[in-house]
Amino acid sequence: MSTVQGRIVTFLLTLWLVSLLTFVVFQVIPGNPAQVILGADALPEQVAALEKELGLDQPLPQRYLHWVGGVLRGEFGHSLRYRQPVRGLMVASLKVTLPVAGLAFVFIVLLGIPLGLTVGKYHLQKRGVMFSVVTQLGTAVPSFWMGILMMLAFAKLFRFFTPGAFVPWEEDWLAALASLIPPALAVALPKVAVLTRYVSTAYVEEKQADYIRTAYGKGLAEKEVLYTHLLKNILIPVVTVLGLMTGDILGGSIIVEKVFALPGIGRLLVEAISFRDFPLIQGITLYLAGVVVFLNLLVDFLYRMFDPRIRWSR
Amino acid sequence: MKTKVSLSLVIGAALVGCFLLMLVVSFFYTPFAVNEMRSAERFLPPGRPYLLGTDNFGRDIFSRIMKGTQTAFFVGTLSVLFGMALGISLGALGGYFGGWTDRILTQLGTTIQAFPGVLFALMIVAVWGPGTFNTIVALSITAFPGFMRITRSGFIQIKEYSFVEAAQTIGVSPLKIMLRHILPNLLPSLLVAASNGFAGALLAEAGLSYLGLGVQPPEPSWGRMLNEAQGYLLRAPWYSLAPGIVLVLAVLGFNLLSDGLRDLLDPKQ
Repeated sequence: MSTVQGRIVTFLLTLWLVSLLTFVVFQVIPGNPAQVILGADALPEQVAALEKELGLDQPLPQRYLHWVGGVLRGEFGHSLRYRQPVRGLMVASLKVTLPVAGLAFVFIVLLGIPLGLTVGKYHLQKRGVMFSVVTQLGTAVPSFWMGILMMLAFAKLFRFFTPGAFVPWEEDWLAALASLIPPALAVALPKVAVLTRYVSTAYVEEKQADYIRTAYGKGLAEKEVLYTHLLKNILIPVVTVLGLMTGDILGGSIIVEKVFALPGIGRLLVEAISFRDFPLIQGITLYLAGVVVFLNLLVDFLYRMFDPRIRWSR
Repeated sequence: MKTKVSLSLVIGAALVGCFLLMLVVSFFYTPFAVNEMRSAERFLPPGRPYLLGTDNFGRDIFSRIMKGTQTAFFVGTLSVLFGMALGISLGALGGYFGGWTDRILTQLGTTIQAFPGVLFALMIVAVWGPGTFNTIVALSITAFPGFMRITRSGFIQIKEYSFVEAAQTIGVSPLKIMLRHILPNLLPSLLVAASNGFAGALLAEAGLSYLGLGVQPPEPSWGRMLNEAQGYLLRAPWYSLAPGIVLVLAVLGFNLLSDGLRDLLDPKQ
């Protein structure tokens, strides 16, 4: 079972390094951070007060330990701009961002796999360059422009729905969910094209494998061959691709929020950057990177579940 | 069947060629001055004399897109070059020497890739401020782990070949072995990755500039134009459409080129 432990050690090591990097980057600000935050006109007393608040009067290792200790207890420090704990601000905006990313993920799986199987089954990819260009477009269209296109389409063509106004969950969860569907689709649609491409390629390749011929040879029905034998083997590359996509989905959701004016973590981050609210930026960055590291670990475990050949042996 | 020049290569090269042409022409000629504002001619739809219409300041959108090619290619080229240089050097070190060097470098790459999408770049921008130069630095750092991985696995594979062992036996220095004997074998896959990485850099720059944190006005950038266009989405839809279509075509071109190059240079697959 040494690889399980190995995986977990790498996971913890990566988390630690991410926290160190997130901390160190903010220590190399040219000049005095307190002065930078307050601007050139600030009084020396103000600068000194902020330095004390940020803990800048303490040595570097101590500051890191203090910060990481707080993070482990779920405290990310205080936002300079909002004068509130960073955690509260993050939790409020994650209620928007995580559902968008989650919905996008569901759309990608629910649309990408059946589409890929259909394309593979009817050999649509052999219909020349059209298929290749359409799926390549998927990687070329940035999710925020997809979002802009959708806004335009809803405003000019489908006027029954106006995306943009986010309803808080507490008010009406159904309306909240509905307002998150367009941004989730904007993130998902380009990725659906990518997944379709992978699934159809895998389908065509696996279809020629020996075990499929054996399955037909021993008299299994078409359905059984496809769903129990073929699909299982296709799922392995699918899990890999989806794992690689998680970062893109989360990163895409951050930018897409601006298109739909959603009060999510991306907007919080961009505002924090323009106000040089360093504790808030640090907290958000660490959290998002931590999520990706965790998801990668999860994908790794899933991978082994689907594929007995790599099950903890290497 | 794949040894011949594929259609993706033709389309990709054609698209990239068009953009290179636009880039060169933009240095000598744009239909209108890029930053010239005409308050009487705001939000003119595409037509004549403004091919793609005008924006909220009455500036010619087509001219600005042409000039934006310079920004896109400047940021793309430099960040791919820096990212590649760093990635190749570190990947070669790790792959050739193995052991702890390799472990530390691989872990470094994993750590940087843990930051989703443009998040690492956003962190850099948060510290050093927005701007073209900082965008390039941020995108180079984001890009290098990819190149490092390719170089590393190539080195691990090739250093076992007998021609490398032969060179080691007759006492060729490690640096020379790496540069003269191993690296040239990896150039095809690095070229494919560079083309792909260029597309990625175009997207990342556009994303950052769209958030208002990349290239700063009045320098024209496709992403920045999309940022400014959004307030006028319904009044001037062409302002949001044109830079987006151009961006997608450029990214598509480099992706198809990368695909085509892979088929051309690596007939094994």
